[in-house]
Amino acid sequence: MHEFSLCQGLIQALRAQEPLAQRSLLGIEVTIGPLSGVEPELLRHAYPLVVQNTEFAQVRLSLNQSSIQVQCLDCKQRSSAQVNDLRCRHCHSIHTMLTAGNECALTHLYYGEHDHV
Amino acid sequence: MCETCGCGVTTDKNPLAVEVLHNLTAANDAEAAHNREHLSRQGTLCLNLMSSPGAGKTALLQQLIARLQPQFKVAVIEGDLETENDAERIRDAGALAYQINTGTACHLDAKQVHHAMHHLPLDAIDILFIENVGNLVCPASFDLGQHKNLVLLACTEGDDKPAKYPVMFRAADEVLISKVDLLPVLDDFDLQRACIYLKQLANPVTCLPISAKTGAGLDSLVETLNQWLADIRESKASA
Repeated sequence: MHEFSLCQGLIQALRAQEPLAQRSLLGIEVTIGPLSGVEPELLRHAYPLVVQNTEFAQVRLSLNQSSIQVQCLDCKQRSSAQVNDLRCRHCHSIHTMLTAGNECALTHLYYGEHDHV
Repeated sequence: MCETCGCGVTTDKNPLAVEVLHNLTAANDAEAAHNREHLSRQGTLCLNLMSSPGAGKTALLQQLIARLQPQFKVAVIEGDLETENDAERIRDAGALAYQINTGTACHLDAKQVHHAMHHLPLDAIDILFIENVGNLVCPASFDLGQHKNLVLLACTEGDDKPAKYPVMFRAADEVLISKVDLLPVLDDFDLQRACIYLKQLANPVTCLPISAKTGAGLDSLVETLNQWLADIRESKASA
């Protein structure tokens, strides 16, 4: 349900970007982590409905799905983790810090060149 | 459309990728930060109470109000899709309540809570509970400005709920296993297993078994709330 409100947040984020001279926005990348609480497919479906009557109607959305990474506070090593098992892969400690995997952010803007002379 | 000349002709030739970082929940997060700052300045402890529907959030609040009100002024912001039933139960228990009806929305957001806060005399409230919409999915993704998250898991649900809803249980500052008075007649809920699933989320909090019916575990919970309130007041004093 809240994927629609996230798309509205996306439009606000796009409107806050400074336009580039001689360039038009063609596409955007949104990075979604498995622990963000956002379902990528729902966001993909919501996006065209939300942008259809805006200046971003032609802007393509690409989704980058990040993986979960944790930093162990005991053995200090980094490891990948599963959505429901965030323990350290090396020493099995539960004292880990999430370093990636909960993102829900606009991460790239792709601009094209004008083709006129 | 071209920002420079208004033409619509652009190509993918020499595309330029610009790296940015803009959180899509930024607007809600900013509103939540504003709520939290205001509550901290008042010295009011704010708790976001979350669970699936029917886990016993309102029954727990009724019991907590009875235990807390002699010493503290308690208020509750109620979130439900429809009806004012829960707010009425809270008022009957002797606390202030403001009901938010979300219609079809499955969670509260910071703006709704901000609006509700304006209907409560915050300067006279020690502990503000936000009873979120019954749902183990979306409420976890929306900061409301609370200081702590209380998550209920009823033993009538599966003990693997922490594994199934990791976003919610990872965010918990206290997990309350509710309705434990029913455990003798439930042969498929293993309290230990629920705690193991919670630990696997790298959440070091403990599972506190409680019962709003018998009062089990509530003294311990009240002690925790007292400590959290003292921490908020200490931060306020040092600020």
